[in-house]
Amino acid sequence: MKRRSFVKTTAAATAATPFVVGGLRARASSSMKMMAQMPPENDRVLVIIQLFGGNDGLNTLVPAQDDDYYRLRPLVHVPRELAWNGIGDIYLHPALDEGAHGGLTSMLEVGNLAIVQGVGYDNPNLSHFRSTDIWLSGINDSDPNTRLDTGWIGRFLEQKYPSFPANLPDDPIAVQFGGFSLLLRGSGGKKMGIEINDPTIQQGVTSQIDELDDASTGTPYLEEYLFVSDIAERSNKYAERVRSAFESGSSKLQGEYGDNSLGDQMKAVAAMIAGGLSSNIYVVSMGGFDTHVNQQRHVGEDLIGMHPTLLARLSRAISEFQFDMIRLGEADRVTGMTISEFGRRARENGSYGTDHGASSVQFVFGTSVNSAVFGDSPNFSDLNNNGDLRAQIDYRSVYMEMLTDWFGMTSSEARDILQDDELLPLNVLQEPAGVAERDHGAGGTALLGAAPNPFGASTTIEFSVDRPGHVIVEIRTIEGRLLARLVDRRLDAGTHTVRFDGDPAPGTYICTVRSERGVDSGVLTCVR
Amino acid sequence: MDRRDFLFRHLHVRPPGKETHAVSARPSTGLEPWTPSPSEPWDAVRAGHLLRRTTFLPRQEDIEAILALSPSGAVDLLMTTDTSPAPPGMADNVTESLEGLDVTYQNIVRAQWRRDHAALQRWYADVMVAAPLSIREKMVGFYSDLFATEFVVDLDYTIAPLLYRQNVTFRERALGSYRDMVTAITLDGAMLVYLGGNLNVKGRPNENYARELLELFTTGLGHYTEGDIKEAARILTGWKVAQFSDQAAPNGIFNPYFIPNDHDTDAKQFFGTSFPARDTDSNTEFLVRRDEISRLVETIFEKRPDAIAQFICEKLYRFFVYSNPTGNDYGVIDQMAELFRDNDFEIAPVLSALFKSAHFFDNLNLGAQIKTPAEYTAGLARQIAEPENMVATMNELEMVLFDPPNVSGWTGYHDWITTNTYPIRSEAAAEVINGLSDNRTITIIESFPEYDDVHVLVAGVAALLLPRPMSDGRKNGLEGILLQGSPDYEWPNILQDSPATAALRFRDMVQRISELPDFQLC
Repeated sequence: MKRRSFVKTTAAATAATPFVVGGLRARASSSMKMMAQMPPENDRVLVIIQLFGGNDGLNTLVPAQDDDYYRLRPLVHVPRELAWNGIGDIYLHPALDEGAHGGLTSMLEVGNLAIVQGVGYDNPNLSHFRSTDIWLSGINDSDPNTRLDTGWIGRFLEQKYPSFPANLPDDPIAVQFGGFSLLLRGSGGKKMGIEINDPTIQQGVTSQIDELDDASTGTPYLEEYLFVSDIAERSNKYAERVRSAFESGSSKLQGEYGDNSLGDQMKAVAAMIAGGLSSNIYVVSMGGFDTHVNQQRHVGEDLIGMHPTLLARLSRAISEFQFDMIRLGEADRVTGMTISEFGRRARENGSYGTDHGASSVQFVFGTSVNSAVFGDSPNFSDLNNNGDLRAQIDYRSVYMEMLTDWFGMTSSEARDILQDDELLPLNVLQEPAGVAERDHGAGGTALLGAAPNPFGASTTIEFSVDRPGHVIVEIRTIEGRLLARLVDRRLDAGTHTVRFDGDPAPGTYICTVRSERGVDSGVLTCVR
Repeated sequence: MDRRDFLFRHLHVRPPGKETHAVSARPSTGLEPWTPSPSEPWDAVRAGHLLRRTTFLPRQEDIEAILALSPSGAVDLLMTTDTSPAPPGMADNVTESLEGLDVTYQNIVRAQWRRDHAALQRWYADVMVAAPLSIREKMVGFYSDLFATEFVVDLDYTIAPLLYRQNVTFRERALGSYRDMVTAITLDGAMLVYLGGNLNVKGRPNENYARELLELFTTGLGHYTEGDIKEAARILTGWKVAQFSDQAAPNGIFNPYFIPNDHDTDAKQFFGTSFPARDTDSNTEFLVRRDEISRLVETIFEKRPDAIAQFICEKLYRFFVYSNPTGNDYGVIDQMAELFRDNDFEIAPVLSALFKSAHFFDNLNLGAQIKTPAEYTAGLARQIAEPENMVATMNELEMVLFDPPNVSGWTGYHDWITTNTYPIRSEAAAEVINGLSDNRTITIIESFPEYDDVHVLVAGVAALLLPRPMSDGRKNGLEGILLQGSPDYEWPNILQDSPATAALRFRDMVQRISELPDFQLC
C-alpha cells in the first residue's frame, strides 16, 4: 500500500486549475514507474533557506479556527476571511500566494509543498544565536556552555567526501551565499563549501606559498596560514566554474524571482543548477524575521508590514524557483527546506509585533515531497510557562529524511550525524527509489491493512515492526489534522492490531505507523 | 597532485596533517610581565605585534616610535593617548519623521538618511586611518561589534546622527568602567531605536533589549531565566529618543527622554532584588533613571560578577589575542576576569596587564589573528596607500560600518576569509600597490632605515607588513625581486641610477608580500 501516492493524488485533484505541469508531474512521479527513474543520490540537490530572526509560524500557517489565536493576537493576526483556504482546514497567510501561479499556496495544492508545524525542540532557547546554532548544528544540547561548532551538513559532507579538502572535487560540494554558515562547517573548523555573493563577479586568485620561519612549527599562525591558502586555492579553482555555470544557466530561466536578496540568491541557485554545477547543497538566507516591531498591521483589506513582505518574497522566490526547475526537467533531483531558529510568542507584544517564541512552521518543497500538513494544530491551552507553543516535532525530523531518503544514508548513519538515536522520520519525502531503501522496504515497519476498509464506525488496523521499540500509530485527516493516536508506546517485534472506533465523519483518512526503523501509511475510507 | 602535498613541499616546516588539524599548541604563559630576551627581543617584529593588535596596523614611524620606549612604556603610551576626532559634518543633520509624508517625501527623507550614513562611514574610516598611537580606536571597534547596532533594518533605519553619538560614547568610555558603559548604552538613542526600547511601554512590554542586555552585553547565556527578561523589560519601559524635527524633544534633539505614563510603575523583582512600586510623584525621569535603569545594571553586576567578568574578558581575549581560544587560554581569561572584578569592572587595568604579559608576546600568539576588513583596509591606507574608496572596499569585504549583520555583530575570524572575499582582498592590495607613482614609491623606500642596504630594507618592510620573523627562503625570495640577479651591493646603485627600476621592483616585491597568506594575518 502506497499512501504517498494517495496524498499526492488527492492534493493534485484538489487543485483548482493552476500549475498543470507541476500537477501532472507530481502525480506521475509518485508512481512506481517514475520512482524507478528518480535520479541517483549523487545528483540530488538540497536547497536550504535560512529565515533569520525567528519566523512567526502562527501567522504563516494560521490556526484560523481557534478563538484562542484571535484572543492572544488582537492586532497581529490573520483574519480568517483574509487567509488563503484552498484545501480543507488549511489556512495560510495570504502573502503566500505571491509568485508563480499562486505561489506556495498552489504548490501545496499540486503536491510540491509540505508544511511541518509545531517544529522545534524541548527546553527551547530563545536566544537567536544559540537557537540558530542548535538548528544549524543539528545537535540539541540544552547546556549553553556546550560549543556547537560543526554543522549537520558539514558532518554529512565530511563523511561523503573523506579526502576533502586535500582533493578538491571538480565542482564545489556546497555553495553558500553571503558569509560562511555553521551549517557547512566540518570538524576542526573545516569549511565544506564555498561562499559566493554574486556569481557574475566571482573571481579566483591564488596565494603564494613560501617558506616559513622555523619557530612557526605547530603555531596557530601556521594553521591560519594554511587556512588562508586553502581558501585561496578553492577560490581559484571554482571561480570560473561557478561563473560559467551561472551564465549558461541564467539564460534558461524564466522565473520572476523578485528584486530582493532572497530572489537574487534563489535565481542564482536555479541558474547554477541549470548550468550544470554538480553541487549537492545550496544555502541561501534572508533576514528580518525578528519582528518585535511593526510585524503587521491591518489597513482596510490589506495586511501590511515586515512579515507579509517577507512571506511574499519567500513565496515568490520558492515558487518561481520550483517552476523553473520543473520546466527545465530538473525538479525531480531538487528539493528544498526552510529553517528558522524559532517561532514567535503566542501573545503579541504591543509594538504591533511579537517576541521570541518556541515552536514554528517549516516548509519543505519539491516534486518529491508528500504534500500535506504535518504536525498538530497549535495547542494554546498548553503553552509552556513562558507562554510559548510547545514543540511537537523534533526539528531534525526533516534533516533525518534528507540524509536517508534524499542522500541515501542508512538510518543509523543519519542518526550518527545527528547524534540522536531516537529520531523518527516524518514521511515528508516520498519513498525513495534508486537509493538506499527506507527500512520498511525490507519489512522494518509496515502497515499491513485495515479491516473493514472502507469502514462504517470502526475498523481494525494491522501493522508490523521487525524489532522492539517505540511505535506510534495515528489517524489523521488529509489536511494533516490529528484525529486519534492509537498507539504511542513500546511494542515487541511482530504483527500487532489496534482498533479504531473514532466514528469519524465520512471521508478519507490517513493511518500512519512510525517507528525508529521507518514509517508506513495507508488510506482509510469512512462511509455510511 | 594532492594540493596539500604540493603545499607542504614548499613549506620549510612540516604543517600538521589533516587528522591533527586544529590542534596547534597554545601558550603556557600567563599574565606575568613579559621580559624581552635574546631569542625573543623587543624588535620590529614584536613592536609590530603590539601595534597590529592595538591599532589599525602600524606605520613605519609608529614602530620606530615605540621601539624607543620599553615594552611597558609603549603599552602605557597606547593606553593613555586620547583620540578625539572632529565631528563629521552630518552629526547634527535633522530631518522630519516619515509620519504623514507621502511616498515621494518619504523617499527624499530616506535618501537623506542614507547620505548621512554614508558620510558617517567615510568619517569613521578616516578616523581609523588617522588615529595616533592609541588603543582607543581599536576599542571603539570592539564596542561597535559588541553593542552591534544596525543602520538598516529592512525599511526602517537607525538614523546616522544617533549612530554617531553612540560611536562617541564608545570612544569616550572606551577604557573606563564597563558597568558605566552598559548603563550608557541602555539609554543610548541608537540602541533605543534598534532594539525597540523606544516602543517598550507599560502593559505592552517589548523584550528585545532586555534579552540582549543579558545574553550579549553582560552575563551571556545560562545565567538568567525568561522570567528575569520579562521583569527587566518592565523596568526598562517608558524611554524614547528625540529623532525628528516634528516630534517632541524635551531633552534636546537626539537625546533620550522619559514618558512617565509609559513606565510600568508597579513593583518588579529582578535577580532577587525588589524594585518597589512608585507613585506619580516619584515617577520622574531623574528617579527612574537612578533607581531603575542604573539600579538594573548595578544589580546585574552585583549579582553576576563572575559571569560578566568571564564573558567580557573572553571577548577581549578573542578580539586582541586569539579568536579561537582553547586549553590554557582559558586560564589567562580567568586571570583577566579576576583583574576585571578586582578593579570594579574597569577596562584599562585588564588591557594594560594583558598587553604587558608574557602570554601576549608568546611566540604562539604572533600572527595568529585574521585581519578584519577594517584592519585590512585602513591598514593598506596606513602602510601603503589609501584605497580609492575605503568604505566600498570594507563593504565588499563584508564589513559594513555601522551596519553589522545582526545584534550579535560580525562573526569574524574564519568568516572574514571566504572564496568570495579573499580575491577582493588580494585585488584591493594590488590596486593600491600598483597605483603608487615612482616618486611615492621612492619616498616609501626612503622611510625605512638604512634603505640602501637591501638586506636591512627587506627585513624592515617584512617586519612592517608581515606578522612574524622571516625565514631565509622568504628573505631570499623577496630580495631576489629587488635585485633581479644583481649582487646585493648593486642595490644602492639601482636606487641612485635608475629610481624608476627600483620603484617598479619594490612595488613587485610589496605585491608579492600581499599575496602571501600571512598578509591576511596580524
